[in-house]
Amino acid sequence: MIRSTLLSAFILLSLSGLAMAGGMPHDRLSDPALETRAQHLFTELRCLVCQNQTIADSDARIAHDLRLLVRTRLQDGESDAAILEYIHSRYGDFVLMRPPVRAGTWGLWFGPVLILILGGASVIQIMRRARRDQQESDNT
Amino acid sequence: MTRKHIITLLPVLLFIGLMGVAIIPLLRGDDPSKIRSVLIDQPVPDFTRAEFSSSDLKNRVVLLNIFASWCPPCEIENEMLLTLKKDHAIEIYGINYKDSDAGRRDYLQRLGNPYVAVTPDPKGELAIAWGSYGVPETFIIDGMGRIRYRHAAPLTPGDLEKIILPLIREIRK
Amino acid sequence: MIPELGQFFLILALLMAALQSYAGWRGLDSVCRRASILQWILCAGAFLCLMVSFIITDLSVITVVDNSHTLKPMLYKIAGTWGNHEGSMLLWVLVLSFFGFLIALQKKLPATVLFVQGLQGVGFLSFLIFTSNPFSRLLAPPLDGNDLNPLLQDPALAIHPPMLYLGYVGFSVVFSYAVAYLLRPDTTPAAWAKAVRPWILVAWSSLTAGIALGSWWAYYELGWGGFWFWDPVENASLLPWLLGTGLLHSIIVTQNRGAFARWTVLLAILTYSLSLLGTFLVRSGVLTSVHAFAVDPSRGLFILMLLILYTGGALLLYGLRAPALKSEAGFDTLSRETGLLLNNLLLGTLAATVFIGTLYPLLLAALNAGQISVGPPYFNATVVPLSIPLFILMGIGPSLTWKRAELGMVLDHLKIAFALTVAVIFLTWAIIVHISPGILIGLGIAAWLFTTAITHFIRRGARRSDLSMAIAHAGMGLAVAGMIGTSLWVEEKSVMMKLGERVIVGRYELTLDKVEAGFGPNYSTIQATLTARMTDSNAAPFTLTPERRHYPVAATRTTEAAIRKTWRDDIYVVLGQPAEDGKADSWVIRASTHPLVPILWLGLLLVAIGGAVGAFQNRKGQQA
Repeated sequence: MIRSTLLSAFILLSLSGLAMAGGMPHDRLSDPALETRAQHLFTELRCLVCQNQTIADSDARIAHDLRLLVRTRLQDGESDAAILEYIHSRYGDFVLMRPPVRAGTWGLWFGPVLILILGGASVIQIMRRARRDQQESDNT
Repeated sequence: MTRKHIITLLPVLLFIGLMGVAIIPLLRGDDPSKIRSVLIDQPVPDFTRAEFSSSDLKNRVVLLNIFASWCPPCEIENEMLLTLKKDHAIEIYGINYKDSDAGRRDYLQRLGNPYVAVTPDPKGELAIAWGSYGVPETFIIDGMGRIRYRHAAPLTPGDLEKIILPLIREIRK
Repeated sequence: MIPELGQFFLILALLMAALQSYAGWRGLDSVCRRASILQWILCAGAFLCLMVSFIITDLSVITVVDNSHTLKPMLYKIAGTWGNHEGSMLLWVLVLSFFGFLIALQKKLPATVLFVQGLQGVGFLSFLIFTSNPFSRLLAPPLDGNDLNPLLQDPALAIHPPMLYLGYVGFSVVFSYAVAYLLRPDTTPAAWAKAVRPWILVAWSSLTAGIALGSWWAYYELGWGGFWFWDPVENASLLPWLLGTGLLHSIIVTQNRGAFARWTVLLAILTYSLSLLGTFLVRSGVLTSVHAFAVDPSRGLFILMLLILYTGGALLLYGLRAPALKSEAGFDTLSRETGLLLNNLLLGTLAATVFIGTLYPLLLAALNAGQISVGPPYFNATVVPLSIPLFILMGIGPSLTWKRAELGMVLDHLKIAFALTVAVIFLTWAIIVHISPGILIGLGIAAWLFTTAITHFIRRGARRSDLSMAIAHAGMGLAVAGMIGTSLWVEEKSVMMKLGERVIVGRYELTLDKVEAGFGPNYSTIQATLTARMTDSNAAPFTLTPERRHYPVAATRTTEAAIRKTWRDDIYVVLGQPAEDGKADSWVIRASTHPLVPILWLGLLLVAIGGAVGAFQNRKGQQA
């Protein structure tokens, strides 16, 4: 008796518990190709109320709603880009785990490339000078 | 100072810039968990429901409130919404987020109904259209059908006095 | 009484740190030495006082009330000492003073280094005493404490912070050596590098172990089935590791050739600065993260001030003094110097990328330019392309000789490893029918790292001096294989199961036997029992018992994944929520197989061991 009460209390409590990837199995789309696309989209979207979690890993209500929306729209034949675009238009950049390229995010996307180029240029310069030094010491 | 100094002093200059930026949110006391809505100053999302549609929100200042009977903060907030309705004659439209018909009826009967109309949103798609990420949330819509403000927390008496009412007065001017 | 004693020790330790610093600057060697040793003893005393308060659950101490509970198991009462903000900062100063103590034990006292180390002691002890006093008392003690966050009640996590701090704070010594060298450049760059190198290896190896333990904890405890989430706090520990790895290699050039001295000194300063930045990010809560347990802006400001003082001061000093450091040495285009230069270019760019990705949301928010999320898709898109050339180079580098390498000889040395790598790729492709190109490339890289490390070691006649690199590089190869296995090669099923139902995942067949409720020492639990059989062998079946726990005192729920480890793969079972319609007779079971995971942990362990072996050998070499 005590056990079954505890069990049901636990069921209620655990409704808001931790992660289950992609939600309940019976929510899954029957078409495996669509479901694969859905799972991929889940990893691109942030669960807004969670801390740095995608909607794929989250049990939060909003994550559940977004998963449902993604699956419904996939079944209606929408493209991945259109679905992301819709959710982006509602929640802004914050919802995208891959920030869009815009003036404000140039530093994010091109900063590493710039650093690699500048670093590479100075490496080449260092190598040139070192080679000259080496040749000089060879000659003496 | 030599030419080499220009290069070796670069790290400290970058560091000063970075720290300048890092200190701003600390001094401002930003809360990173607050998400700003991108729908501010945008037209209300298009939707058509039996209870009300987006066109009903367009020719005067109205409030839109997302609530659920299973949400304790909503219960507390209900009193504020009733105040807005009774004392300030403000029309409030409700989106009933992921709720049962019985739950909603019981909730409004028990606490009083501040809404002009309520539409159920069992799958949460309307809430997503409004860019909502939890309940309760309240939107202020100006006479032109544009969203002017989003409050993503239960309204308190202080919020009413300091934010909601002054903004409504300003819009009405 | 005990907490007051601890408090008293801390104040004395602060005085000792100041004295150590003063004596170090004035060159009063014996005073400096004694102050350093005393500072450590006092910090250790204070730490013991806090530990005793936790062990006896002294409920008049706020830290204990907030983070402990009488019913908590003893291991976590002890670990609770550092499982909170105040205690972890006390651990920081303990480790800081411990390193000061180690420096002070050297026969020839590096007094200027202890001057800088002492300055750091003053800063962090003040931070502790004035903003995060672990010994603050409550006037009216409650009946019991609030418990330690149950997610943190895990053996791996109990030792994760000490290891991580040994790494973070270990780099404080490297920093002190770098600043001391800028202040008083009294030796050649090569001699300086020789003195500082063991400290780098100690710090780096501890940091590796600390990160690996954290990753292990995330994999086994968070129940999400991943080992790395690109979470800001994870990135904060990865940043000093990446730059520290660069430093580890550039110091070799400085030691052997006297070259790159300016760059090495800069890396030494930056690596420690990133450790400080990591602490700042975690402790101030400026970035949202699953890990930001203790969030307090005033503490954040204090740490930011320390960061500005130490890093800003050191970088200014660097800007003014670095041009005087001699840094030139000649080498040819194909040489070990070039290899290590490219290593630093790639590791530096990697660190910069993770740095930008982690801090960019903060930057935009500060400038009111919008809120963005930088998640795994960004890091995967940037880090992977930078890592591939780094790993290829990592196999070639050791075969390059100083000054000038002969291309023919290098190719000759690498041909066996290359043939083995091709063989591994081909065999994997031939044996396993459905395999993606990503997995093949990943396993090929892993095989390349492993075989180049081993063949290089053997070809040179298994020299002791090559041992540490061979272990670390081969370990990295294994770790890469494990990473590929548990990210790209995972097979996963999420199903609704009734009692007695079966499901096949990978090479396992699972049967749900029962679901029961029960109690642990400080939690209640709901536990499923499944029987697993291997479909490809007659090995005895075994049971798996995933749980969902509820810790009433901390009001937290945790998912305890059930994991069975074998050398080939992990079978990983999570008990999910009951059906949403409330029918309690079916349960969501998420089961997955993670190939090669054991190799990931083994590999990371070897990387850490490689660093430790190097530290030990360099230390011995130094005394000889």
